Amino acid sequence: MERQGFVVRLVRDLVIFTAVVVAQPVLALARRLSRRRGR
Amino acid sequence: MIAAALAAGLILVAAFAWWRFFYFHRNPVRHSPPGDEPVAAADGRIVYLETVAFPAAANPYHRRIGSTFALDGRWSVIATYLGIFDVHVVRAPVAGQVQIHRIAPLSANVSMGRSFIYAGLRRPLPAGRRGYLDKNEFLGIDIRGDGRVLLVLMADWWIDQITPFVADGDRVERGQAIGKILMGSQVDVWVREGWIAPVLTVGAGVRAGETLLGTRAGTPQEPSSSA
Repeated sequence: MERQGFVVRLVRDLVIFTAVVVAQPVLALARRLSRRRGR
Repeated sequence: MIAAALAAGLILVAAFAWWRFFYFHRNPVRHSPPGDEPVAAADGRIVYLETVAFPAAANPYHRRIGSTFALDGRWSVIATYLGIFDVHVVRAPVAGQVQIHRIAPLSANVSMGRSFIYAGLRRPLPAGRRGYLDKNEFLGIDIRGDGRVLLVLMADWWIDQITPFVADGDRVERGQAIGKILMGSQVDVWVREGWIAPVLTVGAGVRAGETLLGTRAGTPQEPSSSA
């Protein structure tokens, strides 16, 4: 795969990093709800 | 209010810079358990376990791997999804001689975003959600030692590089670092069905070079060398 420019990669990685950080507590909550429903 | 937003933004950017330039590139020392049972190749979570039969395999990914490695018979696949906070150094599950296969993408790499969600939920990734298997770029590593173990290192749509640390014909030790994926991806370990008794389940967290994939239950697979 052809490498993109440094700034493009940096911005892209920042967007992905932010999305993952935001998603972590949402997924943790979903897991907890799923476990509770399974009881 | 503005000051709080600015502070939050600064903290986010600082955390990002720390992750992007330091944390992501870490390569911690790993201590493989004694014995010769295969260890995990990558850090992350198991997203699926499956068995593939050749030459009947109808799935395009399986056919691609089958033709690359000239496979026949039944094989077990253990798929590990690497999140962005996992170590991305890939390690040899067993000792042996390596052969590298660059597997070109069939189209532009597509996202593994669904793998992230299913791994986060500790649920198996449904076959219908694995479209990237039919398209993306892979690096295949064939390790022939006491048995034959195949690794498929996969690129997500935003992956820059899959870099092997070894070359064709090199001898690797169990747990040795053999490559790195930049950044976020999946590693499949293929072993002949019955060679090991799997001990992992979908959703389990694994550490490269340390977590046992299974116990040696079966007979040796194939000759120790392709030569």
